[in-house]
Amino acid sequence: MKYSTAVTSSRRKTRKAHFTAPSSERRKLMSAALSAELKAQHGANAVPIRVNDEVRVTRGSFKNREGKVVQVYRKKWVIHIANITRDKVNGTQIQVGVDPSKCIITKLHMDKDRKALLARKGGASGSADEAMQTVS
Amino acid sequence: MPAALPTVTVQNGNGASCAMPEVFLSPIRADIVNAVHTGLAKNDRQAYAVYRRAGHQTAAESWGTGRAVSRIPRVPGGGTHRAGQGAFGNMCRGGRMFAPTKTWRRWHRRVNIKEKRYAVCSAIAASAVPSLLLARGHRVEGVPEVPLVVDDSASSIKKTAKAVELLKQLGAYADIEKVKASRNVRSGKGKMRNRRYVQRRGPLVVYSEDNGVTRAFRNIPGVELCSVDRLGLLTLAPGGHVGRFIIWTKSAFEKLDSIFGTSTSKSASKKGWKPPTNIMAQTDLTRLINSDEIQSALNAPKLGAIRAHAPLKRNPLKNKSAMDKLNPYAKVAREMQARAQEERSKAKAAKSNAARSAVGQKFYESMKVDSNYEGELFEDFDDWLTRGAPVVQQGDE
Repeated sequence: MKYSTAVTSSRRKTRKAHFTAPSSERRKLMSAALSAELKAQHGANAVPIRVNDEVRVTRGSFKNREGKVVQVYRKKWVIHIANITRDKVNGTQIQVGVDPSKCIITKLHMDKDRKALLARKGGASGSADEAMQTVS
Repeated sequence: MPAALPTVTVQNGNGASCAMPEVFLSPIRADIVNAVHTGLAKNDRQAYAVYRRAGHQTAAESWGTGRAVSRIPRVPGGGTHRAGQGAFGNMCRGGRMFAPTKTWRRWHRRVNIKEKRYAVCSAIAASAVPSLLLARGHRVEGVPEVPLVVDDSASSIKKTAKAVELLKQLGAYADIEKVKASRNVRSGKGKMRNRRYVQRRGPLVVYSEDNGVTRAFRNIPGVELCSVDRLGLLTLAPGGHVGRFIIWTKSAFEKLDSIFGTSTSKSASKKGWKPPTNIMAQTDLTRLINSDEIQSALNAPKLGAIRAHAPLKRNPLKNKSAMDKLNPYAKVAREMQARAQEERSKAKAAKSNAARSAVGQKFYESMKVDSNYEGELFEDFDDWLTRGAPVVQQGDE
C-alpha cells in the first residue's frame, strides 16, 4: 500500500535508484543489524557498516564466523572481513565478500561521528523502549 | 453468535451495550448492491488510448488494379524495404489497429443517489449476518458477535503492535491470517505495472474520530479503515459481494442512526433520507395467513352454497346426456332408430345374399359346360397335366 504521494513505489524507479545509487547512498543501504546488547545500549536496530566494526556472519558457509571489517567495498555491495578468505588456484589469499545485511555488528568502532549518529538514532538517553516512544 | 439483536454488546466496554441502529434492518438487496457496484467501480478509471496518428504517419496510397497485388494502400518511394509495403490497414504490419481506442470513451458512470444509499444501507445490514460474512470468506468463527463493536479506546491506539493485540483479543486475527496466506503474485501484466501482488480483503475498521487508528491499523495486511461519515459501497461490499467484516468503534456505531436516519427521524447528512424498509415485515406467508389476527378477521367459509365453477355448457345436439336431460323421449327415439336401422340392414343383407347365390349358381353351371373340352390338343394338355412335373423338365432340356 502506497502511503506517501511524494515517494515513488514504482518497481522500475526503485530498482533503478538502488542499482545506480552513488557511494554516499550505498553507505546507508549497506547497513548491518546490531547485536542484542548493542541494540539495548544504543536504542538503534541497525547502523551503516564501517571499517573496524567487528561483525558476526549469520548466513551462508561462513555462518557464525567473527572478525573485523577490513573493507567496505561499496561498488560490489560487499564487506571484507578479516580471516574470511579463500585461496586462489595460484596460492594467493583473497577476501570473500559478505553482504552486510547478513552480518551482526558485535562491536562498534567509535569515533565522534559514530557517537553523534547513534545519539541521533537512539536519542541521547539511550534505551530502546524510550527511543520507540519518542519516535511515535 | 446471534444475528440480529436489539442491543449489541461493546467489546472491552465493561459490559456496556448500545442499541442496534436501524440501518441494520434494511432489506439486503444483493441485486441493487451489485448494480451500484458495477457503476461505481468504473469511476476511478483513467482514460487511455493509442496515439492518434499511429499507423497513419505515411503517405501511402493504393496502386490500384492491374499490378496483380492487393489494392491496400502502399508506402511510396524506393530505396528502403518499407517502400511498397502495405500500410494503414489493421491487417498490415505497421498499420493502425482496428477501431483505434479514443480517450473520449465513456469511462465513468452516474449512479442514482437513492440507489447508492440503498446499496450502502443493504451492505451495512448484510455485515450483521454471520452466514453472509462467512459466505464472503471472512473468518469470523472466533468473533464473539457481529456487528462487532469495540470500545472507543480502540480509536486512540497508536501502535500497530497494540492494534494486532486488539484483533487477536477480539478473535478477528484469523481473518488477517487468511489475508496473509492469500498473498500471491498477480497473474498477467499487472505485475509489471506496479500491481505485483494480490491478496484478499480483511476486516474494515470504522471509526468516528481518528486519534491514531489509521496509522496503527493501516499496515496490517488486508485491514482497511474508514470514517463512519465516509462509508462507501466499494469498501462495504468489495466486488459487489455483501457481507464485509466490519469492526466498529462504539461512537461510530452510535453515529449510524444520525447518518442514515431512522424510521421516525430523517438523516442529518443525507437530505430527506430514511433507511429503506421491507415491503413485507414478515415473509413467512403461510404463518401470516394462519395467524389468529387474520383468521379472526376472515368470514367463515361458505361450504356447499358456492360452486367452484359455473356449470359447463354442453351442446345437446352433440352430447347425448345433455339431450336426454332436455328431451326424455330422445333416448327412446334413439333406441327405436337404432333398431329400425338394424332391421333395415338385416333385410338388405338377406336380399343381396339371395341375389349373390343365384348369380353364383349360374356361373357354376356355365363353368361345368365350358370344362367339357375334347380333341387332339386337349389330349396333349390332359397328358401333360396327368404326368406332371417331369414332362416340364424334359421340355426345358
